[in-house]
Amino acid sequence: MREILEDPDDFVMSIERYSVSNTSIVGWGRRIDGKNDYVAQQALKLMEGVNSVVPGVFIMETLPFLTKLPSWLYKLPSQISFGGACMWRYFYLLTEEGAKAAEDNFSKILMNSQKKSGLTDVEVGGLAGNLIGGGVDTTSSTMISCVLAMCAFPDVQRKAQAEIDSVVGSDRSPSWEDIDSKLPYMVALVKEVLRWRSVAVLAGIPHANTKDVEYKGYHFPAGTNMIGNLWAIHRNPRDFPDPDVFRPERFLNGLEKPYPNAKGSNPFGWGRRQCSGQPFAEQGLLYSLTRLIWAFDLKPGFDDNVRLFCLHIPRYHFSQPIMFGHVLTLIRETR
Amino acid sequence: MKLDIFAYTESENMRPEPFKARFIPRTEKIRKLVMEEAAVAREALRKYDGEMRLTMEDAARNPAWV
Repeated sequence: MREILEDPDDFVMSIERYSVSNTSIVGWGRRIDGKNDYVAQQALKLMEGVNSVVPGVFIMETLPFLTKLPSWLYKLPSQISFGGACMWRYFYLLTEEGAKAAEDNFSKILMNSQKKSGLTDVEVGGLAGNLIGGGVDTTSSTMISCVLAMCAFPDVQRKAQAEIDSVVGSDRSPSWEDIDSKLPYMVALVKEVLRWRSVAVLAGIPHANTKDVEYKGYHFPAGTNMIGNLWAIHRNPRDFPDPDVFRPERFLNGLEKPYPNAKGSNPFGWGRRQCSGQPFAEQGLLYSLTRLIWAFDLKPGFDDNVRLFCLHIPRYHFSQPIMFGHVLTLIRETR
Repeated sequence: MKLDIFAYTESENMRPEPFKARFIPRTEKIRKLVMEEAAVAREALRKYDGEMRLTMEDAARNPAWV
């Protein structure tokens, strides 16, 4: 917040530093103080790699035998393996060092588990790296989306500020106690950010069915690669009318429309492979976004001619998941 | 640059394309509180200060193969 106050134009980097620092304290007991920190840079580099998990990006996914070609013929698979092996070693070394810290942290748990249960170095590095993979980009992107939403929907921002002011008054900042139990509109606002622009548009990691499934005339044999289109699910006008309008009331005083679960959305995925950091993320988002909205009036930037940008809300065109079943079938057949 | 709620990156983890926003402290009192609390927080977090000297080059000398 102080960083944003002092250098508001660099707000994205301040948000990024905050989310890396949070996970780094939990993981290695070490705070990230500066935006140019080496660990933070490596973390952000790791997150660039997340694009390679978008299904269908690489031909070797559809034609797995390509990964067996010699590297002089097809370089990418060996490059990815080498990059991964360096990354896991890097996170393993960080964990080893983090376990020496005075305060409790996740590194200590990991190093103890390695001794007790014989985790490999790759497993330890992977589990440690997962903190960054799961905890950095997701939190920061959600916070940046919230800033965008507040600029685009000023009435929502004013309602949230009115609620905070009525509970907190004007002499102090929002406390944990206020945020935990006295700000229902703010709680609904955070849920609405997570629905409106869910970070993991494809619901993160693919799933697979354990049994054969028939669905709308399609046959899915057990073990089919299943990817949930969260972008479409969270913007289905049946469940969320005018889905691109940012409206916390959808989650205020219970759910406006029925939904398969009690929370009313699935920003953290579902089933066994849902996000393991959900409580950490929800708590951090609620706390930091409440304080951000308490502290600042968020407004769209001016252009060079000092003219206010007009908000542009194009019509919604993406309501139908296209060729969904066919793509899944194709992936299955080529295995 | 225009504020566009559909201007998002095409990525597995999507985020808004860069946009400009203004952060205007709501009151002078709030501005002061933010600065004061930041100074207190900086002290409270000092126990997590520390320099990591590890680099990716250290890791590349001994990669952890699957």
